[in-house]
Amino acid sequence: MSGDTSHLLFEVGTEELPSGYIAPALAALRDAVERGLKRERLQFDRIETLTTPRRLALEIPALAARQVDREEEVLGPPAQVAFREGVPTPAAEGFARKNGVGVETLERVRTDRGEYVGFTRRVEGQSAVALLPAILRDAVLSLTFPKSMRWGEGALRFARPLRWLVCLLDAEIVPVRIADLHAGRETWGHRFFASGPLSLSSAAVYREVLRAANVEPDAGLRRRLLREQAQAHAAAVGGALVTDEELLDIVTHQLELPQTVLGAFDESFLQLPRVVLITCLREHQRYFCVEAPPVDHGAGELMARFVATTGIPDGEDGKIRQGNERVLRARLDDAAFFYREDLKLPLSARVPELDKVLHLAEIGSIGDKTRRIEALCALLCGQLEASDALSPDDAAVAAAAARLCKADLVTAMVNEFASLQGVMGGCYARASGESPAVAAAIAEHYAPRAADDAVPRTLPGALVSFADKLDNIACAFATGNGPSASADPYAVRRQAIALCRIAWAHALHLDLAALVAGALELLAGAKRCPESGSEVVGFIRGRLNGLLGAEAHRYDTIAAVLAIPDTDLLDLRRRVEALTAFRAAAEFDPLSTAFKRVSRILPKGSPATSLMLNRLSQAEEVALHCEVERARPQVAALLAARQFAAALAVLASLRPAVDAFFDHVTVLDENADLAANRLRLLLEVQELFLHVADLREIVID
Amino acid sequence: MSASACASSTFQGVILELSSYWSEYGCVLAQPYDIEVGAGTFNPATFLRCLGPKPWKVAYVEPSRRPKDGRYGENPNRLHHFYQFQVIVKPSPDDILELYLGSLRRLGVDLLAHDVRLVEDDWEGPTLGAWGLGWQVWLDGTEITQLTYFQQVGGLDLSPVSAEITYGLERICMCLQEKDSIFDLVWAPGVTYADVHLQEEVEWSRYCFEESDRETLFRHFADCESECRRLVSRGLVFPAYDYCLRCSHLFNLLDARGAISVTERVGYIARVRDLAKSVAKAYLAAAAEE
Repeated sequence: MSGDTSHLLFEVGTEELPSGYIAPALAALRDAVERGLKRERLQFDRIETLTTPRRLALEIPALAARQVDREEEVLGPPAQVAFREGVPTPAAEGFARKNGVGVETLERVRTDRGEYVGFTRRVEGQSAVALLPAILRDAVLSLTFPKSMRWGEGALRFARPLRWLVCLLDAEIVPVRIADLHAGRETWGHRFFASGPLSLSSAAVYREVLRAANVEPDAGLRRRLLREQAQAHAAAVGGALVTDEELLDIVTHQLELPQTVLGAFDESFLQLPRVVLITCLREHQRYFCVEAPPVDHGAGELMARFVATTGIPDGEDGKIRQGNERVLRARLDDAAFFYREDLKLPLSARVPELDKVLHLAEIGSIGDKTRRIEALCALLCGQLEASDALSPDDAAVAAAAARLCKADLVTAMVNEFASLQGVMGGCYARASGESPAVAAAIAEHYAPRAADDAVPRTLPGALVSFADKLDNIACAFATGNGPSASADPYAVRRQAIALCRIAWAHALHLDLAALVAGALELLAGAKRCPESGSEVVGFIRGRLNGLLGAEAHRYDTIAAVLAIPDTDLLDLRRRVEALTAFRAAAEFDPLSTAFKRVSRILPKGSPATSLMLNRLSQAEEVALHCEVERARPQVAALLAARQFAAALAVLASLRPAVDAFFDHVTVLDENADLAANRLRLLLEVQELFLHVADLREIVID
Repeated sequence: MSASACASSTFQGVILELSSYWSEYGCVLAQPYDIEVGAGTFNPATFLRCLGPKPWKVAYVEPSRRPKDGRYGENPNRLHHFYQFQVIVKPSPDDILELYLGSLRRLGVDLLAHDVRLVEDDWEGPTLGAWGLGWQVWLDGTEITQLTYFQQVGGLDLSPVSAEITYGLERICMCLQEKDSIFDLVWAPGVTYADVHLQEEVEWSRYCFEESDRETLFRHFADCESECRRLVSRGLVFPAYDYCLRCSHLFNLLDARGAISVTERVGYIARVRDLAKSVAKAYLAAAAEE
């Protein structure tokens, strides 16, 4: 960049923004300003972002004072009209006069439409001060939030009310205006420590002035300070901070001044399960947990300590610490009460209560749901045992876990802390004397809860999770609450994706069609239960597009495999992988072309005749027939052994015979019998291919 | 907290301080409504007055009933019946947060010695068809106030927007008096919260969880619902609203009794909301005729 530059500061002052909105809004503001500056040809070195709960701010240390000058060509009349024998005509004189230039400055300009006269004008760049108000206002107004609001008598929508604007170019105020707010040089410091507005003499003093007013505007720095303070607190009591980046983000955006206090709670609460303690501390109070140094390599036990964040440093009397300890004690008292109450009954004794809890009005109680999960789990186990993929022990664990998996829904703890469902069931199962394997399967049967969440680690946990989710999907379809383009009230997309991920992670070969049929049969009483499961199966298989597409498989590869009526989710994946690998081979494109050639010539609907060997007259058709007969048992054997890549290789070996056939044989012979027989032969070729993938879906670049 | 010397060292002192603070600001000091409600928002001084264009400033105590939250007086932090201090300022002024923080100072909260934090909160009152955005206010980790810019009430967009401040009086007093149990709060010199309310907590918990009669409650709900509709059709907005409030409370009683399943719950909430919406519409229609 050359020429004069200035230091720009733009601050949007607000009431406390939701912590989760701040980082995305700041990034969007930055991008919008960058686009605006580029559009207006205002050069700059870099845009720095600063934020606290009460402000979104941008600084540009070196912004050009003016737009880059540019040259503009102004066209006049066509050359042959403008000059007659080298003498300017009235047309040329008029044009020159209108534009305030001498007629002698006109030049001939070649254009697509012929030769014209014109001249080049130098357009001086506008000043940044003149352009910035619109750029900055538009950038702020372009921000969107998950939820926005109006305030007072205004019509403007924002995440929370806008309260002030600062915009300085060096020491000069840039007159940005948004609704009834006019930018000035006055900002605000810490809500409690700094009373009254703070006047900024220039853009460059912004951070310094805020820091003097107990505000740290650099969120990255606040985050680091909070982490360091919290770690120091934990270390001071011989422990370690339980790492929690998400919580660190939340509290960073709740405070203008990053401070922490170390608090303690009664050791007796450590008898509560770790997840309960963490829920009370983290979810409800936004406190960090502290754990003892781990023995061996596992996670250390939690200590009866916590680190709370605060926007005000605690005094020597420790009032802030004490206040936080008091509220935590109330929370933990509640949790301990629920825990004691819940332990009075073994988990199995709660199963009958599930009949009294409604699940879905049309379909029945949670007790009914539990029985369906048990039935589906048995169906799953049956399929796996038939292929020796499941031990009797695992099957027994899965069956026991299926029976108990929903029992924690009638415990006081889960009624209070819904996010603990499943995990609490695992705790109570262990306490009730169930085997660790059963407890583990119950604890993880809701997994994966989100796209980035791990699938159940144990096989029985995976089976119960699969059964539960399959039932949820079937229930959604059976009550007319299936997914549509705009809505997915029962979140079945996520659950169908989970089914795929579970089948893949545990290498489960399952017949999805039979499972869906079983799931729907269990719901046969429901009003809108689909007659056939094909819609549901199709929906679940359809998830492969997104899942495998994200792994860089091409969409047409996935489509070619999904065109095959295979309903084993694991096999479908392996078919896609084999086809992707095969597409890299040199013989792939010709093979795909050959298959499309075969398919194109075949009429809709298959010829009724069967192949007559005695009508195969030409050498090439006899050869193709022999090749098909050779390949058919090989392909069948390879598919049975799930060797999809090898099956593709066998198909590829047919290509020379197919090509020779098309080169030398007239398929649609005048003799109708011969023609029909040749079509029949091609149909056999097509059928053989369609056991592996439908290459018609493939798009060749 | 250092409030021992000032008026806010008692529960009634806090009510007096807040009342005088907001009446000095210019609020009408209204009184609790004489029908059971779940929160101060249900009082017509909030629900109806937030509708329409007329400015309005009001403050009042609202005894609030949450039948499901009863704990037989055994839990130190939960009550079936508790108190809110409610403030409505319409249109919401630019300095509403400063005004609120001023009220905490008036109560003796040293804002430089305590962590007062505004934590975002999307408030929704499903039975009133009302929602707004704002914050929970945390005082050293305890939620003491809900601050909301109302966006809709009775399903109707509000213009201008009202600011609602709802103080949880028991919570604030527990912080001010540094008490671990609501029942230990000093209500007046020599009188505790338990002296005033413990026996009724126990009895109401028994009623709500064990003794209320489902059939009667269902019947009352149906009667109040049809009466509300009839009164709306006769243009009697305030009487109609009373019956809407009764429906809301009857629903809460049925819910506490476990008489309404999870799915049916949604349906009952929608029925009360429909009443609230029809009352809100009728109120605006009547105001337009004035």
